[in-house]
Amino acid sequence: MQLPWRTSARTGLSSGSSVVVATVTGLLLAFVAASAVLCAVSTGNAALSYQVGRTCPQSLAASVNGLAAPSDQVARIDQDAREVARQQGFPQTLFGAYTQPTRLVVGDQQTPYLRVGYRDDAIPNLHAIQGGATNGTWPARTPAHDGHLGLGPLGSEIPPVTAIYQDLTEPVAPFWCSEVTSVVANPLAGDGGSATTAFLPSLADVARLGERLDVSVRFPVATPNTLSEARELAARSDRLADALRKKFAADGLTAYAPVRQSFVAPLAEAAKAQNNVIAFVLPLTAISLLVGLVGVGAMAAQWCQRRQAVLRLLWARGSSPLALGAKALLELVGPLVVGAVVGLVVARFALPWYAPVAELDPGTTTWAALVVLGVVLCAAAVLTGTAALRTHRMFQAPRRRRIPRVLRLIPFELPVAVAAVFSGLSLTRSVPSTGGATPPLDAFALAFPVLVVVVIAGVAARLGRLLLVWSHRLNVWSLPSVQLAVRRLAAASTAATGVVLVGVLAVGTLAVGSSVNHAEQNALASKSGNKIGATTSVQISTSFGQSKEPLPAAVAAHGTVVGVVDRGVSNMVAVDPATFANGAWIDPDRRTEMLDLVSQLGHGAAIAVGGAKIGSSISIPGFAPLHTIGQLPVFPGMPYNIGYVTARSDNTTASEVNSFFLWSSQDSTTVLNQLAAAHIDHIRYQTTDMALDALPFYTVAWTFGYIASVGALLAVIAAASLLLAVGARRKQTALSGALATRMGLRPKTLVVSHLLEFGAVAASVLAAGVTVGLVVAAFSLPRLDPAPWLRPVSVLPDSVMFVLVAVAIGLAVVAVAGWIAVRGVRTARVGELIRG
Amino acid sequence: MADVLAAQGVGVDYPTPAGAVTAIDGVTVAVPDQGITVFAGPSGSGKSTLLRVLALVERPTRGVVELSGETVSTRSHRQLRALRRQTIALMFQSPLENLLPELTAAQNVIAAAQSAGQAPDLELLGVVGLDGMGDYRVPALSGGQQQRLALCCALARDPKVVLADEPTSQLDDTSAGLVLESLKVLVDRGVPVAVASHDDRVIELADRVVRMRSGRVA
Ligand SMILES: Nc1ncnc2c1ncn2[C@@H]1O[C@H](COP(=O)(O)OP(=O)(O)OP(=O)(O)O)[C@@H](O)[C@H]1O
Ligand SMILES: [Mg+2]
Repeated sequence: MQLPWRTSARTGLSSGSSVVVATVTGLLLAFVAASAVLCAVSTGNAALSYQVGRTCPQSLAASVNGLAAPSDQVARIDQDAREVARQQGFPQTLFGAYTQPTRLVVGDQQTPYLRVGYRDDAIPNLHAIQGGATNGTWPARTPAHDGHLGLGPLGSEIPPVTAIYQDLTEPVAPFWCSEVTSVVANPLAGDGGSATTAFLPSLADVARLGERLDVSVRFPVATPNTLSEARELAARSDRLADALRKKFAADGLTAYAPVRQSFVAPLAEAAKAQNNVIAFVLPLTAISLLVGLVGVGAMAAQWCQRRQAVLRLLWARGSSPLALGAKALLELVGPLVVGAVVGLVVARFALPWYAPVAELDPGTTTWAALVVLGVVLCAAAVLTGTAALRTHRMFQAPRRRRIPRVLRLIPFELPVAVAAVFSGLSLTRSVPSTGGATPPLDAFALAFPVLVVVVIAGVAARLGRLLLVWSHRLNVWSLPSVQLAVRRLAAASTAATGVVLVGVLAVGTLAVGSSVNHAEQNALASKSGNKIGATTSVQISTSFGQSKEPLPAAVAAHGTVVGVVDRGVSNMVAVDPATFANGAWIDPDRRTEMLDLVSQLGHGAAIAVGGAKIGSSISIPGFAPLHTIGQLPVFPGMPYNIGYVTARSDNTTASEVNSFFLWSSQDSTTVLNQLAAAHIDHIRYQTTDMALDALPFYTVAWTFGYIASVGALLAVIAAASLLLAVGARRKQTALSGALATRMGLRPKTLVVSHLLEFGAVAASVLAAGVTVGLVVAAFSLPRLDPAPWLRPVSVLPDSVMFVLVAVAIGLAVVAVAGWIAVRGVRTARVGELIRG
Repeated sequence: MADVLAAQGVGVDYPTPAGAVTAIDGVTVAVPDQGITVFAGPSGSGKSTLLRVLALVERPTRGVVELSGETVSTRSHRQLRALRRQTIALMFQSPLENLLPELTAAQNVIAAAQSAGQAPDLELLGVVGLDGMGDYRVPALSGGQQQRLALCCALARDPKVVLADEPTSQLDDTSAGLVLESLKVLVDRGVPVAVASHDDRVIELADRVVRMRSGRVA
């Protein structure tokens, strides 16, 4: 390599601002590229973890759920399943078989309804409260207690009772989750509809008892942590299912041993969530990378300008434009690569801040690094190409016109605007009328907010440029600071419009991203809370609702009892004003209002919810006339419909209220354990965690969270490029400022003019960005709502804080920029400046 | 005495927003293969433009340029680059434009030699009176020293002809004198030199003077 090229790397370091610009550009490019990869992988795996968390771990692989299999065939199902599982590499098979609920005859008495069953490893997974020998029958406590069964013989057909185990209650341990219908009694089901199981020591014992047995075969596997692990498992499970079906068919067992794969749908959901995130994140990533590459081009152009003399010299000595482009690359690539490495590292370690926490597939970081490498190569190509093209234009083809003016007038926002319109149309179309099904997320419709922000950013920059062109006619010397500010802006119009473009893009995406992200999280919390009414809700006996029986103190401290009448259009929720706040889920935004109204309930007072009729004598069949004391848009326990909230004390005699619920602010395990300890019967426990399929909410929240973080990054870039542009012009600014003050301009006017100059840029960025961000978020939110049939509908969260922070940061940037500009003026000596 | 460079009816137009500007027109001149040829004329008469055309840095709008009797101005950019590399040394008006500021004096000579595929000869620094200044960085040299270093670089490239645009215009008398000395050294070494200048002392030195006026040979 010849000398000037050989020393390029070192030469490049001598220009501080170029080094900073190249490093920051490399950082931006690498961060965007790497974070997109990491975010996509991480959201996929987070979606999977969510789905796995909702799935019974025993049902992850294929399973066999036979109903009423003849007992002489059951052992063959068992053998076949074990054999196939061994062949297919599934280490463990859990076989279970249960009779229908029956009453056993013991002597001259009948036991309560119970099932008799067998399951591999059942005994170690039961807690014996009496006895414990493993060679006999193990009934649960409740039937044993009710039927006065003790340890000892049961009759001739069935082994003697050797242990009594603690009832299995929901939520059951993972070992039992696939067997809930057989081992947990449902008090709602009538006699013989549901029962606990008495376990026998062997399958043969069970087969002897029942004619027909329900069969459950599970193949426990390690929980997959990543989508790729899950796909691998699904493939293995497919092979297992095929082999099982073939084997059962060969043995004529197909009718009794249907093979199910219950994890297929959740896995597909998780994969779809990932695809949605990718499809949605991709456009913004592409735009950001484009911004970065344009930055690289600008960097190359600036380099050509700075090194013009050297370029001309080398070119006169016979260097080709490509060789000169290579020199640009050699001088700037070092900081660019350093920035890229930093960007990659930052993207990796900041992952928890912009993406859901989840395990990463092995090799994800390598993938991200490869993508970053690709982007860096692109940047290198753009850098070399731009510099080569510039030198070619500068020296070899000076007489050819540059980009035709017409081409520059074609608004690039137009195609984006067209895309935004179509995307907006599909967004409006995707609103389902009613119904309980989550509308499928349309990635194109999801792109709407970002597309609009891009269009507005482009329009703002174009308007800014037009205004600056027009401003040459502006003559306001009566306000010298304004005139100076405008003149300076017009002189630096490319830099100013560039900052406006990136700034509006940044603030707009940040506003849209954080609003939608927060709104989705709020919507999930409030919809779940309103649907269930509290963190945990269980239905309990009417005697509690009618205050005939007190709740145990531990339960009462965090709970309240609520009566619910579901009458379609006119729901009634009867609350206890004194304890309501202990247990109910209360929307933090309406806490005071709601508690205030609740405290006024009693003596026929009612709160009208969701637009229910208001008045002083509302008669609802079965109830005393009500008078409304206020209105609320939503109320816990009333997720779908309109209705009234009354005090429970008003309804104690009304037989109309027939279901009472304990609403507790504690988690389900605690509540259920406390109820079990107090021997309080309960059914239908529900929790906010499980109230809704949260995945669609998460998908939207995750994507917009990522959007917001890219927006934040773009904001940093916009601010940094403003400061750098000011820094780069410092010498000129200092000269003109110093001269102007010499000629009688008051220093204060100069300072004000600089603040006006940067303030105008910052103000237009903030005004356009915040407005478009919040407006488009407010427009999209109700349509992005994954569960629009549930109250409350997602709305724009309170944005005052966001606006205040944005304005504060804007002011800080303006102040710093002003300081940089003015500092040069004060320290400049005119004589020196003129000579320099 | 053959001509190393010749312009035949050369004209150059520049497009400007106000329409095409004719910088030179119908210029027919020759640079002999020895001695100093000076293109003299008032400011704006087209000296620099003519020099750029002769240096094959710019293609003429009309007419042709011949190098050692062959028409070269119509050749491709790639061929022109090769010719510039091997046969021509052009010196711009401002001293700094002729040097790589990040390198030392010696490195500049080496870089110049390498650009023409020549073996670098640092003795040349002594020839232009820059003995012992090889390790100086370019900004540490005076304007005259920089211009002499530029001449040294031109020499190091072993060109068929050296073209210099107003080499003395930005220098004081003493420095200008030293540069003229170096110009003579070049000529003594058998390198033909063409200089654009309206400096009388340069014109005195000339073996041949071509006077220009309003883009034409007067
Ligand atoms: N790139 C250009 N674009 C437009 N006009 C040009 C360009 N270069 C030179 N000219 C015009 O061509 C004419 C000749 O310019 P040139 O630089 O060759 O003159 P010169 O004799 O070298 O003057 P000086 O002694 O001032 O250097 C001038 O009128 C100038 O304005
Ligand atoms: Mg000139």
